[in-house]
Amino acid sequence: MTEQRLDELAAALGRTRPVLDDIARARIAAGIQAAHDRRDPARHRVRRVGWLVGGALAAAVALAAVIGLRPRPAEPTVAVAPAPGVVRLPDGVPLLAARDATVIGELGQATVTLYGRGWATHQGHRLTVEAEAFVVDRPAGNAPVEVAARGATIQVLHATFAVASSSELRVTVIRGELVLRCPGAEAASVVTAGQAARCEPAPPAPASARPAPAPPGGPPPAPPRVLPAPAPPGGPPPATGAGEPSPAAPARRVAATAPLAPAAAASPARPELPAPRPVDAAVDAASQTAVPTGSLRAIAPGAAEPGAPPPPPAAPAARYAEAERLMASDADAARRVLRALVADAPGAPEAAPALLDLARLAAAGGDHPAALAALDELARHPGGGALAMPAAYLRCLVTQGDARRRACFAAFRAQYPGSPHDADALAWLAAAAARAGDCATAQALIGEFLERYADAPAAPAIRAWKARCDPAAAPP
Amino acid sequence: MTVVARRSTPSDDALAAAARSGDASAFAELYARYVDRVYTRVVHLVGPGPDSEDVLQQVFLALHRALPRFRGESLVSTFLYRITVNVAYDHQRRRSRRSVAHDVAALDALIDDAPTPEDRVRRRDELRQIFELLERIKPKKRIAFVLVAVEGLSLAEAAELVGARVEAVKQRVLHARRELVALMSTAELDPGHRPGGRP
Repeated sequence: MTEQRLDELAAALGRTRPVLDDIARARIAAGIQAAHDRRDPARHRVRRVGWLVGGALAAAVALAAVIGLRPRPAEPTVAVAPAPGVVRLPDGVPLLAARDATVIGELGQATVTLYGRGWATHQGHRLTVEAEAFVVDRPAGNAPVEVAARGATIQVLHATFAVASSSELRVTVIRGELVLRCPGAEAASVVTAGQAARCEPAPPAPASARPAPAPPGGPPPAPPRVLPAPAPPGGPPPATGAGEPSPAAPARRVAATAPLAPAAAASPARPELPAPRPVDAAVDAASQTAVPTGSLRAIAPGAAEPGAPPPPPAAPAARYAEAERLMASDADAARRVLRALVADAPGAPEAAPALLDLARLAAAGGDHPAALAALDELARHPGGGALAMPAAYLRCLVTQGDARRRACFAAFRAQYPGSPHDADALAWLAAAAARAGDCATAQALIGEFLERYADAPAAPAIRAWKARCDPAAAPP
Repeated sequence: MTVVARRSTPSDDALAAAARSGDASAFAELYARYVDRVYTRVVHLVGPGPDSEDVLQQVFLALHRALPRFRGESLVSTFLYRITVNVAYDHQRRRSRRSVAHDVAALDALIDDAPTPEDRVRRRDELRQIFELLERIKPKKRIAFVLVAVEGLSLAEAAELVGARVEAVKQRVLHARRELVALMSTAELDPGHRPGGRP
């Protein structure tokens, strides 16, 4: 009896036909494309870094011999050329990045990626990072890592987060969760995957208060501040030197933005991700500046006090998530947010999906010209390639006239024979042929449908047409 | 009469060769050709939800990295499915120490043929039950069971994908069945016991 039940359960699982969402499909394709673009540096990363480090050391020794200087062993420096590479750094050795460079280093049990000019160093589980933008990935480990950046402290056990290039500290959590304590803040905030938080900017501090990023090849930066030992996992964040109230700097507030798009807003327990996709997307998203949507969620009391300066612009990812939320309840508002996103951040990764959603909204509202206009815009968009298939399918759906639509679906099937919309396109073509009295074509299409998609929801209706090839049959 | 014009589609081998030489569009074509089939297999192997999308991406990234080593000794599809199984196995090993909750929406998304709401609820419960049961057995056994008992592969086909002998796969399937039946019996004897819970 139990064995039979097990077979039934196995059969139930075997009958499932998971369908990958178009946006997820495109996002994954974009991640793979990014990996493709970086393939050569990645493939030869270890060898290249070895050569780079060796070359840099040889050059340093030669230079020292020429000018009569001796390198200081207490403060070794690894200078990295502006090419992606991974450097494993011992305690106290800074990772340096030049302007426009991307440098990856393993500092302790965390991987730090610096985008643009800056440096990072660590002592045990305490990291100090000063860079234009950076990403920290802490996939495993039993003790929390504490990251000091721009006067704030970020405590993380297992998480990946990005800090954008802006005057304020803006943290976007891609995976896991972290505890953020802004300079001067009385309380720390927990920021989880899919959320972003910022430390509001303080008045200009003395130049000495914030170390400038070290120039490439220049002298090593000032040694990092010594921070107290981190709290045990799950415990309250420690009071750190960076987090203690300072008389020179008024308290700053922490504000959390809306969650990221669902793709990035995954469960905190997600497994370690391949680096390029979420990290790049989050950095791009967090680095964008755009007009505020007025819908950001503040978690700190007083974040939206009357008379306070307007909130900083939302990242495209947050705006896209806001639009997704609105799509279920207020299509007009969703359309406005999406249109503003496309206008303000046309280069953001969310711009192309926003255009597709604009087309979908217009199609759902019966505004076929607007849908076609959005699809045309998407076709011209540099990021539209990954969404070409769903865009082509939608274009067929909004094409007017049976003959033109049949031609469109036929072309769609020819171009995307394995698409997840193939069954629907085929069913529509079969119905249209039957409706037009073209039984020979209808029967051929019906035969193909039943051969390929016998379990599809439209199969019963298709079987009925097969029996009668009724020109008056309604489409599925 | 509508003429369905079909392009002459390049073979998998041709696409793999082009992708190997750096043709991004060839790889994109391979991706488009196989992503749904791989996704189905990934969901069967690791369950629905965000994990499955991550695994899917890892599969194609791994294919991208592995293509230079592909010498055409097997079908591209076999090569890809082997990678799928390996990535799914690594994923399951990593997460084996935590329980995975399958939410309603993720399970619902797998059901497309339930005529009534009652049927949908029943199908959803079945899926939850089988996924929770599968979480409880070791990854190697789970993979063998899914490939053979769920997807209907022959032992030889499954053995090729997992890189093991046929006899070994057969034993894994038998052990998996035995353990799953035992887990189900325990749940029947103790209705409060959830198969997905800790033992």
